Amino acid sequence: MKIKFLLIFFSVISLLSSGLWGCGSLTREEKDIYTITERDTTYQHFVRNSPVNQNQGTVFPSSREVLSERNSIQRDSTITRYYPDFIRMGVFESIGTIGGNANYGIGTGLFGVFIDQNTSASSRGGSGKIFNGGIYRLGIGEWRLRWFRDAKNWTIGTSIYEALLPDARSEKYLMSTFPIYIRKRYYLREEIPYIAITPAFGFGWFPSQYINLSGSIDVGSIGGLNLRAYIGYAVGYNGSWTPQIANNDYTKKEQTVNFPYIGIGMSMLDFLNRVPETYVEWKDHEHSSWQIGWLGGSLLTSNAQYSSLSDSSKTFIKGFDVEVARTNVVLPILNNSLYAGTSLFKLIVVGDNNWTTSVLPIRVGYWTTILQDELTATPFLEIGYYPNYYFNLGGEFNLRISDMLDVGLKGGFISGEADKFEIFKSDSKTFNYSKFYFGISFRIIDRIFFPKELRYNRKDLPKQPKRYE
Amino acid sequence: MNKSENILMEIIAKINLILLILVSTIFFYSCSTDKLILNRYNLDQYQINAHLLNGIDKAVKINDNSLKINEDAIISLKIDDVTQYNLEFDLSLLKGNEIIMFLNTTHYDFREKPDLEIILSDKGYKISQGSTILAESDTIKFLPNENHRIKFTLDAAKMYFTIDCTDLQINIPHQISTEYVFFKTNSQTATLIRGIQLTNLRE
Repeated sequence: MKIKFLLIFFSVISLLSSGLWGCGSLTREEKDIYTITERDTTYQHFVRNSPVNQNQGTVFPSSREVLSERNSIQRDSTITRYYPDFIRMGVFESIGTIGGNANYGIGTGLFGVFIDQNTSASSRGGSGKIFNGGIYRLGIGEWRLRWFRDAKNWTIGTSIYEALLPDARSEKYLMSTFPIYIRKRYYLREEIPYIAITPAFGFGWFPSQYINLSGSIDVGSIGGLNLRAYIGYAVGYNGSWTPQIANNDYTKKEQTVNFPYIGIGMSMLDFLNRVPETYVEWKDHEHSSWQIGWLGGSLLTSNAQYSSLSDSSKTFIKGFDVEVARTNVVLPILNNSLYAGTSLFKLIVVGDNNWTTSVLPIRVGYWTTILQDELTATPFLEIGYYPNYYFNLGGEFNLRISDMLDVGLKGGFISGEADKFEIFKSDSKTFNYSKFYFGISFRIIDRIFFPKELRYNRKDLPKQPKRYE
Repeated sequence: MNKSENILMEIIAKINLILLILVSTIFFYSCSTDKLILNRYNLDQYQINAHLLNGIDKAVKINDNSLKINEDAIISLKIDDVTQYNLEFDLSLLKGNEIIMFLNTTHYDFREKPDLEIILSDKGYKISQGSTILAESDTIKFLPNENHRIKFTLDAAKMYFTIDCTDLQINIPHQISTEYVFFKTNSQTATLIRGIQLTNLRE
């Protein structure tokens, strides 16, 4: 069975990658060449007057000479246009689900990201959890599926990895690399943020084999943020050789899984295009955020006594922070300068035992562009509430090095509690702290937008694609 | 694990394999179906990309250098990097009464900048640029199931146009040449274009 699936795995990966070569790209390029022909005729007049008097009374040849030159110049002019070539491209999606065995609930929390603090990889869960399980996807892509005479809004898609967890029993986990999904969207609202009802049929095939039927109400995307409410049913099979069974302490037998579920989910850095948008150039796309970034980190100094990086109190660098999937969405008030934002995960360490972690912290701030296309500044207030509480009042200067890289300075005051999460707990203590901090930050795959790029400042948007009639 | 679960497992495994192959095939063939490639297998000819601009069922590739254009279609032929060329083909109306060709335009500029418009219909032919009529005649008519040889040469500001045995030479000043030829049919007309041959004048 294992060899059979491995063979199919590699053959289908080859097939998919050959298909992706044709249609799985992010950007479609259109290049047109124009030939411009310029014809030019020049006339040069030479008049050489004779130094002596001429008898002008009779017909006399003029000394004027006319030189005529005809030139033809051809030059090619190339115009290249870039268009998005996908319907959906996302980094992370999670769903907190209700539907697994209530006695083995994981406690994934709302959206599947507020995971029970007492859970662990080997946990068998427990009762009394609202969200027993979860669904997680990484690296999601969807492309237009043109069938049924080009029927509207069908897509075919996949993700690098998908896990359907009915509950905490790992032998029941349905997991697959590159599961294949076919979806159709019925749009209830065709302006940003879109609202759509999306039935989907999908199946995973390695290492688990399963079928997943679902329907969802989707809101988004705006700034890469999406909210979804799901109802679905997954049925599948885990062979005895799958990692879920082979590494299981409780059973070594193959398993079937029936998983009806409802759930509430969210996704970040997850961008959705309607089909007409794939015919609008990238430069004319609508942007709703001041900043969208994948990964950021800072080196920080603070007034903490000891550094978290060494035992010495003389170390200048006292800590660091790491932030995954940040977005700051424009609030269209006060000249679009106010924003609300969040991050998928944030870890802030400002000194020894002065650290905090947070999932989906809430951030509000004021965005200012100091130098167009280069430098921005933002004071902000950020509140983390899970798993740790913290309050962070700060400011940042961000310098855009490129569309993908930013560096900056940041400083502020943070007050919070540390070590509440089980896996970070040290000496079973909880520390409350309040510190001032200052640091330098680096962000990769991070895009800062400037006022002229925001859809609120562009009266020419949304641009409609050309219709051929 | 009981017997019914075993049966269920086997069914799931088999269904998934079939689905995987089926959907992968769909995935493979569902992309770029709005583009047909002509002269794909003839290395002596330029490859021509036929874009079906207003629907994927508007044209069908008959063979490597022939195309059937259905009713109410807008098709563009793009010859990458070639703007000064000689193009010739056989044209016959399968039904209907009119086909229009547009030259010196692109997808992006189609109908936005004055392009060269050649109307071939059962009333004759007409060549115009914007509101200016460059040539017009009712001596050659395009009727269904008649074969006509069309040949045109775009050479800088000159266009040589041949319908069957009639030659025309037209001067088009200030015209920008492009890689595209457009075909447009009306709601009654279906057309067959066969034996497309292209010569690059810059070679």
